[in-house]
Amino acid sequence: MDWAKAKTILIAVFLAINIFLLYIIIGANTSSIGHVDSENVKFITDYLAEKDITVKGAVPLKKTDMPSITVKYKLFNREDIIGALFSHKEKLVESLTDSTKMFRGENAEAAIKDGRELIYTNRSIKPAAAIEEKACQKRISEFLSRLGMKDNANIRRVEDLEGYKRYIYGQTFRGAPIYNSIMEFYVNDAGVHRARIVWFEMIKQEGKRTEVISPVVALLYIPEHNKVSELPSKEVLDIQQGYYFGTGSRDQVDVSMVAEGTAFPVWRITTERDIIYINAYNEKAEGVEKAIK
Amino acid sequence: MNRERVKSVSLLFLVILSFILTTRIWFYTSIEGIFIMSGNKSIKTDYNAEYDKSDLLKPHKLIVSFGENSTIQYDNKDNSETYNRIFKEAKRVVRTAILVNSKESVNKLPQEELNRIRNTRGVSFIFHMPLEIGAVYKLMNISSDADVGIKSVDEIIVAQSLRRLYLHDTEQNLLYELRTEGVQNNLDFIITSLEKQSTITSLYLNRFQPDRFSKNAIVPTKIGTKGLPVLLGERELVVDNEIPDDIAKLFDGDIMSLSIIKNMDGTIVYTDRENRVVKLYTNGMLEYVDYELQSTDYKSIDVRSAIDISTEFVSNHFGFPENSYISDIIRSMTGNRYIIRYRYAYEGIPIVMPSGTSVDTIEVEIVGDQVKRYKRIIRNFTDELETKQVMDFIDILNILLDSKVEALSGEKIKTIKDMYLAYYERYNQNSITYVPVWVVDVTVERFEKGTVLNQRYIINAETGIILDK
Repeated sequence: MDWAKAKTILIAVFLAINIFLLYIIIGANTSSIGHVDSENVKFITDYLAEKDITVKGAVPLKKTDMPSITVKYKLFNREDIIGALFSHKEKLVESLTDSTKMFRGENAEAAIKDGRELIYTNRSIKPAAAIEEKACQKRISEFLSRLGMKDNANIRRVEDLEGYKRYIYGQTFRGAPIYNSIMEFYVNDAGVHRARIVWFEMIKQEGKRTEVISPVVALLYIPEHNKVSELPSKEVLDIQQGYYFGTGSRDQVDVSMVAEGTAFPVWRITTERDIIYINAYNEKAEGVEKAIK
Repeated sequence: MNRERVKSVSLLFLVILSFILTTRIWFYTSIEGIFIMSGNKSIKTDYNAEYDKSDLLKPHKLIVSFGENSTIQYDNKDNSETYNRIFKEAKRVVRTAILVNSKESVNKLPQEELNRIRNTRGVSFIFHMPLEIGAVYKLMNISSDADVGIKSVDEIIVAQSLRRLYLHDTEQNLLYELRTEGVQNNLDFIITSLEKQSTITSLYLNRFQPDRFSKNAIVPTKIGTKGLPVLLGERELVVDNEIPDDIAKLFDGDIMSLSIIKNMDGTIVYTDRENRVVKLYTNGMLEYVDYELQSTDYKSIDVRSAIDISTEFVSNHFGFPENSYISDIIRSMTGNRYIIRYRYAYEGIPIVMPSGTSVDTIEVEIVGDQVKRYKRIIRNFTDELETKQVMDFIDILNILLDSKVEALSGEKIKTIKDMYLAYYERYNQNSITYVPVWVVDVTVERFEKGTVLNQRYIINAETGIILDK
């Protein structure tokens, strides 16, 4: 048998097989992008105008088919928070209201809501006249490492406020924002003055990539939403695609106990009053929040 | 030579790479029939999808009376054939008698006659709690036209030697007497052959102290020398990342937008985030709720429809375990809501849960003509562990009525309503075991306020220690 020839043939065969397998895998993982007909956008804009709703923000002309994902909250417990954010010598006053644990020290206070939302304020960090961005980021990294977390957010936004910089972080899955996650810091060179953290420590793909509805279809929900709202929305400011971990509007799920669950692709519609999350698979409202003004 | 070595290394690399890529596809691509086996993966499949409704009429206690003496029958491995022969034959006599007797031919007797009737040769079905007559008719497939005036039944006696059938109506405190002459049956033969066998003798405790014991306090005098084994059980449903088919069925198979939420305490919640939710608790209890159904929106239904709806629902969603029977039927005051509870038994001995558990085994709440809530906590029994000797009922009564128990509990036992052997669950994270116990349903008077209330004592049948109250 000519081993040299056999090897050459086998190399060629396996090379072809591997190229085919790679094609399958890449094909499965690459998001498929669909286009939104601009005529439909105009149609829905006119339709909403008839209902006295103005679409001010741009309606996306692309939609990305996405899988559902599983997200797991980073949970905060009493011992870890006391150890990380307060000194050993400090005398703490602890209290418990509903599902919120409060810890009050000499200068700082922390609250853990439902085990997964951390709110921290340090009154000793006073407003500063000059602020360096590098120093701020270093303070944030230090703060996070004390909590056993990493500064690895996918989205960052920085705003200048009086005496502080405000950093807002968010998480994404394959480029799509996960709207429930947030890290917000008011910080200057001296340290973190205020922080609010709701974070997912685990994000993984759950189902197969599935076709999502067009943003045009999601916008059709606004008149329905107005029917049940005390104050109807008149302006659509923004519409974006992302993920949302909803637990339903009724009390069938004890929200204070939730640790992990399925986040679905949604269209997030921001109006002048509300932020509405429309499930991008079944067109149903996943959640409604008050818009921050 | 060098070139050949490079080719060998490249070939090896390509083989390994193809293996890695293939496994990635295996793990991340779902192709029905190749990587996913269709069908029911997560639950025991031998539960009956079509359940014989009349089997659900299995009584809490099945007594065969030989006259002065009587035996309590258990549906266990050794006795299953005999038990089912008696049960089916007696059930057939009951059904025929109800059908052939008209309202006019039925006699009403005072319930003081009960002891006399129980002393005749025959078979008694004693239910856990009174059943609406409509429920009995439904389970026996008798049309509602066959009304003989009975409201609710807590005992049926086929008095074979008298050629009569008696239905004890607790609501009206009456015994309804129906004629059974001409109803062909083999009960005489079955009772006679049973009399010749060695059986578990039963004792009607109210015959000795009618003020202390209620009429259903019937106990086995000896449970045999071999005792009862401790059982090892496991959760009925163990879930992984897949949504089990039976849970998907509770959402009509629409799992596309079903959310799986894991709570901090380990509870798994499946929800469509609109109306329906299924919670799977860490102890294995499953709870389904349809929040859309509000009792105020629906008209009243009859017990026959309620039984139909609940039985069909349980059959279609996880099914009935072996030896299931209806234990309670509770109707709301408004009549538009029913709660139907089922129990099951192991070797004829009923399974009871600790008092803190919110459901005994299976519970269905019906609003209007739909199921609003469904709870179940069923175990698959995997092994029989060590055998425990069972204390006699008299020793248990001596423990229970001792002044020490009175002093410690702060209550005085007034009457003993029921007493029976059962298996009691002891649950921890690592194992689920069932120990033989005596269950004693009593009414007590609290020393402090003098209030009288119902209480259940669960006593370890081997040691006599009170495990639960």
